[in-house]
Amino acid sequence: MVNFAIVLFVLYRFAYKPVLKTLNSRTNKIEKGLEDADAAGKKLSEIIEKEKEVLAVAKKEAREIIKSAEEQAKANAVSIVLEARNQSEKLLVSAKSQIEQEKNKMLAEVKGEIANLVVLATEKIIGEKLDKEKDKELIEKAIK
Amino acid sequence: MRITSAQYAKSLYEATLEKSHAEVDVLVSNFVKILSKNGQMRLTREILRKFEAVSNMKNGIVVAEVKSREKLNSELVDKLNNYIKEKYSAKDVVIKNTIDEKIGGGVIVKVGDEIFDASVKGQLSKMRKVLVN
Repeated sequence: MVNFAIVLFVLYRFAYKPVLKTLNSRTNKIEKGLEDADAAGKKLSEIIEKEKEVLAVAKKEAREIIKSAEEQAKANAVSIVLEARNQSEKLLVSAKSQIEQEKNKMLAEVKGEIANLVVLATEKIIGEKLDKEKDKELIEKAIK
Repeated sequence: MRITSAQYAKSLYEATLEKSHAEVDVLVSNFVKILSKNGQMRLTREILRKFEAVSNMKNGIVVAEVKSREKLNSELVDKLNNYIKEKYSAKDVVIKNTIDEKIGGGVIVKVGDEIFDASVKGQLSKMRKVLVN
């Protein structure tokens, strides 16, 4: 009995305690490892979430850039069309004005020519018909 | 300041008013001396022209330069005389008739700066303007 007690004491003192200590230490390590694994898992999930968010933002930005570029291109196209229309209208107005000027000039020339002919013809007829008596009548009529 | 031909003409007219022939002779002689002294003899013709104008204006005489195709007969001269006398309220009218065949007929009357164009040429010119416009 005494021997058993001695053996028990020795076992407890030199075997059980170190083994228990080792077991405790291992348990702690395992627990820590599990905690770390859990933390790593969470971290990984966070990273994946973050990655998704970044990707979504990037996609959104890319869509906005494309949309803006498309709108700009449309605006540019409208502006080019308007400018071209404006230019063509100006050209048309200028051409119309030039034609009008030419027409008026030509009309004035024709009128001048006709007037000259009429005056010349009238002058000739008057020169032939206006005798002394008619000239006297003309003067009398003018100073009446 | 140099004296102008108009000032000379007016002074000469006023100086010769109601003067006898002998007095006018002396005045004119002195006037010529003044002109010579002032170195303005070249103005003589212009002064005489303006003297005539001043004299005519003061005496109610109107000088009319009348252009016609042929020389005006006395009947027309009288009619023109009356016309101008009435128009300018003149006491007397002096008609200077010049011949210009180019006017084609009718008359052109010039009194001072005013021109009354009743010539064939003038009427044709007016007609041309109307036709052109």
